[in-house]
Amino acid sequence: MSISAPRRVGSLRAQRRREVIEAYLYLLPTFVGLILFSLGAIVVSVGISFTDWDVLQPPHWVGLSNYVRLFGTPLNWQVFGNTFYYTGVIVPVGTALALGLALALNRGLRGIVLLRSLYFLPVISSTVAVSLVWGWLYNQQFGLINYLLSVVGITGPAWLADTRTAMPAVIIMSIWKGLGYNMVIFLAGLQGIPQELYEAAAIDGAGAWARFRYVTLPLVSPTTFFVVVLSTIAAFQVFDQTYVMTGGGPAYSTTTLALFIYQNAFQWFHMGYAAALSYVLFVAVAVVTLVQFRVQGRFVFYR
Amino acid sequence: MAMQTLDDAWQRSMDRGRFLRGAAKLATAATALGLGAEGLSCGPLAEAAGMSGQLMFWNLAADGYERPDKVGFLDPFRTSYPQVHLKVQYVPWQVYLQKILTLSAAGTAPDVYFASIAWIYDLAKKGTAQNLDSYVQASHLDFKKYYKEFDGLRYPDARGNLYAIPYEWVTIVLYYNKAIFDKARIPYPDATWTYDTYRRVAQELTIRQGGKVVQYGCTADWGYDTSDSLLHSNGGTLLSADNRKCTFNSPPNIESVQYLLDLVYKYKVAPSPAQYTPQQGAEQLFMSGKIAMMIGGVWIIGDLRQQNKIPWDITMLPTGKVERRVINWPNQYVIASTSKNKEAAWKLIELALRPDRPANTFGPGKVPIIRADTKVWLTLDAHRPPKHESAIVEQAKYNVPLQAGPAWSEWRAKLDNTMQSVFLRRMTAQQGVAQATQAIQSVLDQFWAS
Repeated sequence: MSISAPRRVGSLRAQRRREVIEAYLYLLPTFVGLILFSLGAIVVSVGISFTDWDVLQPPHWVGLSNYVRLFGTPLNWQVFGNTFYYTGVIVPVGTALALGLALALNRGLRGIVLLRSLYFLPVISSTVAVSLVWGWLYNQQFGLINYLLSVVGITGPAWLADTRTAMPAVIIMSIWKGLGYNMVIFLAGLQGIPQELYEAAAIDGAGAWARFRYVTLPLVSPTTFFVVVLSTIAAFQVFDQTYVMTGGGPAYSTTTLALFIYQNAFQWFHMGYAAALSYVLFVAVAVVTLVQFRVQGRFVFYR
Repeated sequence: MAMQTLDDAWQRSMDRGRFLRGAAKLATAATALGLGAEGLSCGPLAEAAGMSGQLMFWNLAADGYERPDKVGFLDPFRTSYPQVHLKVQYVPWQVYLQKILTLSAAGTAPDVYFASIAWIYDLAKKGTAQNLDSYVQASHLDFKKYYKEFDGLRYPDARGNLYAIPYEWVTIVLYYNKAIFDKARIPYPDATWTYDTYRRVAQELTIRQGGKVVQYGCTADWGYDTSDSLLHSNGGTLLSADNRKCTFNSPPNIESVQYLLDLVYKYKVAPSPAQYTPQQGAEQLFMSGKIAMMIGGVWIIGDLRQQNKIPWDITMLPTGKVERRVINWPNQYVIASTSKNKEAAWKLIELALRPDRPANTFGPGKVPIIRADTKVWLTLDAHRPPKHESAIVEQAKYNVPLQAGPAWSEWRAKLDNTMQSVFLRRMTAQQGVAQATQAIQSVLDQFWAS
């Protein structure tokens, strides 16, 4: 006995409906988790930013006063400045170094895989552990860095204890830590560039610099854009390094926004103020990322 | 009026709101699951007559802090109250307060726990700590036999209610490298010293080679443990008696700060703070034999005993312009206001204060709160350095309480960060003191207004 066409269609529809319901049921735990622990937390933290909640006592509505105080306190401007300083240096320098390293390691030499792995090692190391090690390396009296400088006749500074050198010291360590990650992304980008483009450029008489400038750089620009966006977001949220290496000092010179949020929330229990600071951080990251997406058309070349 | 209504509505909704309470409970569960602490569960579960049920006790798992349970400290409690199911948790310092407050918000704080002097005001103000006045009055313990370290544990000021019970106290001493003194043929520091003597001898002990200092005479860094005693010795204070005003901006304090700056920059007999790393401080330089004298907390005794590179000893701090004043502060236990077993918690505290508490349950250099116990405690340490550990007890008559007061961790961070700028010569002593006073006052105002 054959099944008529309308019955077959109806059965398929019912089966599809069942599959859709089943799919949503599978997704439900993730949806619930996302709504409760991510969206819920985001919505609640917006509310908290308008209160003076200290965890133990019920929150009091304070209106916009957290936001007003936030922009009226000179210390906060220093904290914003530190965060922009860190981001402004680490993103271009870290990206350029990662690209350079990827170019150097993008060749089929013996032992190249080992070299790539070595450069990737800091990425998989704990930030806290490497921060502690770098703290010792930076020690003015007994540190390896100042010892090496003294060998060539230079008296090394008090890296982490001087307001002028503390942030550069944190930046150097952070670049070292993140270099391998960006290098791997660039390697993937470089390996996607067709070899025949280089051959054509060479036939046209292009030298090494011209090949890099007119072939590599444009074709790796989507990867560069990706690295820049990710690095910027990560840089705005820097916390571990400053927390472990300097605690934000000396004299607030390495207090970044994420660290300041942590101090306000979990050391001084000004949850409302910390929530307001978090939204400032969110807006800053969102605006910078938006600008990057807006201007990418001029610099990013998609094949 | 409309604003008031809105405020009230918001307040009511927040008070009633189950979401935050639920969130707090979830956070509590997460905190409890995430305990990086060593848990010990001892004692039988029993529902016998008298005290029974569970008693949760938290202590620090930090280096240098005793683990009293390991030396039988709690055994008498278990013997006396077998029906009480005593659970002990050792929690790391970094997350300690965070966990206590999270659990308190959910109403499940440990029944009795160690609390730093820095937190007492906040715990009392937020209603987390139990008022212990009635327990003290009803106790069989004779508190006249105890060191009077209770003032800082009263809220809102030294005449207020008692919210914690101290079991030991810590203070600051002058450490010195005996080998450096012997080599220079200079007598060791003693109780006759003033801060002028400290500077003069530091000048004699500082050694320069080719324009570079290879051995410093002393330390002169900023911090509650290293500089507050000097402020008090010269007649300065940080807070008013009612803890509402910052009194840091005063001529004696500016003079004290200038004295420290001069040791570093004018006389060049102390390393600048730039020569320390945040984690290591002066202790490392002292231990490597590069500093002759160091002012520091008694807890360093434990670290110095671990090394045998330098021969060392301790003595009283020098006398200032007014007199010798040495800051000290107690370590103490708090009973959670939400505890369902307060009587048992109090019995545990009484055990911590009992006259026959084993001397080895106190940390190195930390003095038992019972006066009579200090003799046993010193005898226990007689065979190991420092030779003059008794100086800690002898200078007790000069003790002044550490001015912790409200929101200590916040205002102290602001004070120390500002003073770092002074010690790195980004501003003068006068400017730094004025700026720090303003920052501290804003924290105090916020605390009392909330």
